Amino acid sequence: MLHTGAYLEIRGISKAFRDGRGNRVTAVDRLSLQIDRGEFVTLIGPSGCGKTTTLRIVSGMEHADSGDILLEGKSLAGIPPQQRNMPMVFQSYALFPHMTVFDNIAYGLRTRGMTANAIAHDVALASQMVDLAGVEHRYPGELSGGQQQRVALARALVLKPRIILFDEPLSNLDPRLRTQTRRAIRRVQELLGITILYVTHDQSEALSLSDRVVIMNHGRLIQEGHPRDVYHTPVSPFVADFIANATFLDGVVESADDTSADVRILGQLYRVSREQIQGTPEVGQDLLVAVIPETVFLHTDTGRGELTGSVEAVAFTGPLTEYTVGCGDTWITAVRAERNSTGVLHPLETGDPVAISLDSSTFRLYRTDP
Amino acid sequence: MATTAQNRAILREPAVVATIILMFLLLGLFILYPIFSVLRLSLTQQGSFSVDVYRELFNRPRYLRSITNSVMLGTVVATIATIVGFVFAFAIYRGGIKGRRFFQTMAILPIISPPFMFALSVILLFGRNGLVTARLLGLDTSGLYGLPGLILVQTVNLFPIAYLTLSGILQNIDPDLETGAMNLGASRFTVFRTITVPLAIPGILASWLVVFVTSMTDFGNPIMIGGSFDVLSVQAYLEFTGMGNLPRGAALAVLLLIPTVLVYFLQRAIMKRGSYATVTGKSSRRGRPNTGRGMRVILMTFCSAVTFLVVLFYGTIVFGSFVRLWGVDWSFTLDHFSYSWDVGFVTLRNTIMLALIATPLTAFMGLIIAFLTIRKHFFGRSALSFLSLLSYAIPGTAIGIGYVLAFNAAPFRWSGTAFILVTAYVFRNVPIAVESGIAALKQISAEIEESSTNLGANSSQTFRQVTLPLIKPAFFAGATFTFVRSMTAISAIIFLVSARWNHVTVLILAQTEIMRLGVASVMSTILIIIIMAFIYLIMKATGLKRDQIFSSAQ
Repeated sequence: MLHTGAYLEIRGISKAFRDGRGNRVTAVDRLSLQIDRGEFVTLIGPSGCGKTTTLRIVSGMEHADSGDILLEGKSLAGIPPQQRNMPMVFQSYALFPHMTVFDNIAYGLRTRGMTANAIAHDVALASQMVDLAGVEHRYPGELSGGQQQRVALARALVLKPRIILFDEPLSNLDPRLRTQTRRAIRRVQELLGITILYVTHDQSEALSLSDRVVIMNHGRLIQEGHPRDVYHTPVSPFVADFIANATFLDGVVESADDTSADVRILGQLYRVSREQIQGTPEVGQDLLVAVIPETVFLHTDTGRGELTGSVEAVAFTGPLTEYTVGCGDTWITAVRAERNSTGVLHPLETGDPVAISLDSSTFRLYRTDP
Repeated sequence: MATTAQNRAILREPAVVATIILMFLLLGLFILYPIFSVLRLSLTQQGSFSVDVYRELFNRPRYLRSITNSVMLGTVVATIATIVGFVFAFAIYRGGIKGRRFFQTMAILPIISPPFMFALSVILLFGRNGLVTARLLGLDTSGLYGLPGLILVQTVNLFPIAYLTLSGILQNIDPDLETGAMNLGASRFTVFRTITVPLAIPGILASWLVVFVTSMTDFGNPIMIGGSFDVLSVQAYLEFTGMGNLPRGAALAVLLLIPTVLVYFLQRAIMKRGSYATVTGKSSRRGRPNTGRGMRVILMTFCSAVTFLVVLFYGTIVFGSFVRLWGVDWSFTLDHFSYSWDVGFVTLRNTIMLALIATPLTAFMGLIIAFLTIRKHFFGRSALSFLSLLSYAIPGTAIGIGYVLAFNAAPFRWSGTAFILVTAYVFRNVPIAVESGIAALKQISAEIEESSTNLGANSSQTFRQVTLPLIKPAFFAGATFTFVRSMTAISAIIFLVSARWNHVTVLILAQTEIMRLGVASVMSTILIIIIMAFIYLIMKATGLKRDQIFSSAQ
């Protein structure tokens, strides 16, 4: 019978641990998630949010207190980790230090009792795929961090798994290698049509790699969706802060109708649509307004924006410069490139007076009483 | 504490359950039961409970003196040996002295010597007919017998223990901490006083305690050069074996046992709590020397002086092997070798054979217990690790007396057999094998074993292909130490030897007592050569480095 539901389903799993003092700490709290075949899904959240525990439960190395993991509709309960064929790429890589690169990659194949010829063929293929050809005889200790990472990847790929699990695989790499390896992972995934469940706390990694991101906090699923959707329509201040580095401003509803509302922010009135507001706005109600940095526009000509302020701090990061602007007793973060199609923008310096205009169509507004 | 779920999980592995039960039975029979026998005998009078034996001990000045003597000797030796060990470790790992590798070797050399070898050297050098005392200085003295001789001998013998502990600690202090302090404006001495010493304090305390216990329980040195300076271990032996006063011997052993067990666990607690020095753990990075030129000269002189003493002691033994009659006739002879061959060959062969039997057994048992206590969750796990480490804290004297009492009658009538000697070796040394196994297993991150499982290996494949190769160094370190300690054992063994199964150390002691110092020197030299050859072979065969083997000594 052909299975028609989700390929991999996490169904209402919970897991609690005891901490050092014997208190129960909930690591995963009734988490449910459905993953399609060939999909790249990333779990992201602050440390301790339960993302790694979830991954380990899927792999079978941890047992959920309740709930179930289903593959093509069949429960994996009772199937030991060594029979799940869901190789994991560990943060520490967990390479076997006493085995060569070849033996590390061949390890899983040997446990499956393959012939030496078939193993040599598959290992060569996997090494090639991750650009490791030529170092097969070396030991992990003799490799660079990037190479070790790719051995860990090859060790998983060689098993031709349908699912690969990644536990913060790039966090030990330097930023440049991280970007390269990101591309390599995505390329291989698309090439082979592998389903990936990926854990990270790096938002740019999550946004750039995934078909779908799943934001977790305190063991719960907070929001899931396409990276762009999550970025632009975060469901809570937590998500807006974690994914989009939003600045939060206080707002008060001045008037509201069926389609829109007028909200006073920093003394100015902004019109927003009802979809941007969490809940039903009432006149006089306080709201928390999330403003993402790239929608804050700064003008040296103080006559142009609706707000005025002064530059408090400047951080040049290369492509973009981040400005912290004081506006009354509120600080707003803005980013912009130092060049655009019209040429070089006049760089702002600390203390410069600026005019600020905000794009109200990108606001997200949240109730202050959660 | 294992949860009920974990207890249920372990029940699905019958082989593991059977192993756990077997380990408990063995440790119970060969550690708890003998100690229980000693306690029972010392607390029984005509079949009923009584503390009369102890009352008598505390009312006789002679026994009281042996208690205070033992404590005093332990205190003095622990203090001096810890200072020497610290200076050595500091000079080598932080002082930037020249000849590091040479001094590293010299600082651990005394560990592989028989415990009484230095006492023999002191007799040869500073005894009644001593080379230095009688010949060079022309003194007619009773020599360095008693407290001064014991302090000298035990310090040279035991400072390596302090050195090993403290060099581990000093290596693990992140050099950046010292550089950072200096960078903040601290002088070299301020850095030493405010960073190095405070971080080393747990190690200093711990090594003081270990040396204290080792000194108190030492039997070989005091029986040779203790003279009229009575100590507990010797008194217990003399009462038990010499006078045949078994309850009194047992009671003296108990008096020795109580402080050593207390101190041992105090020491473990200190090392556990004070482990912040080892958290960063980048021991591969070597710090810049934290010393000025003048200080380096002082450190160098100190280390050279101690090294000279060690070399002198060894050289004296070798020299003594070829001297016809020490102190009287200095002519060259090989007679001692032929005599030693005649009286000692069978004993030496048996000693080596039994040590070789005990060695793999101990290493395997240690590994199994380490694996169970680190990787498996079951009810009684901490009891197992406690039991397996306990015998390290029990003085050899107490074990020896305990084995005689426990295994002298049905159903365990084993006294006088080779079996009892082998079990003594195994259970005296299993804590070392357990500790080195635990240390090795802790270094293998759980993720490595998990990834093996994750890639499709079952537990037995994971153990054979991943865990076992990675703990190989620990296995051979445990094995090496078991061999060395079995070859040099005396305090427990002296109660257990028989005419059929003698031990070469007991033979050396006997030769010393009848003043056949040349023969004693020959046998000591041969013993040291055999031990060195064994270590060399292990290093060659396994590719292990010396540090990997000796890191488990402490």
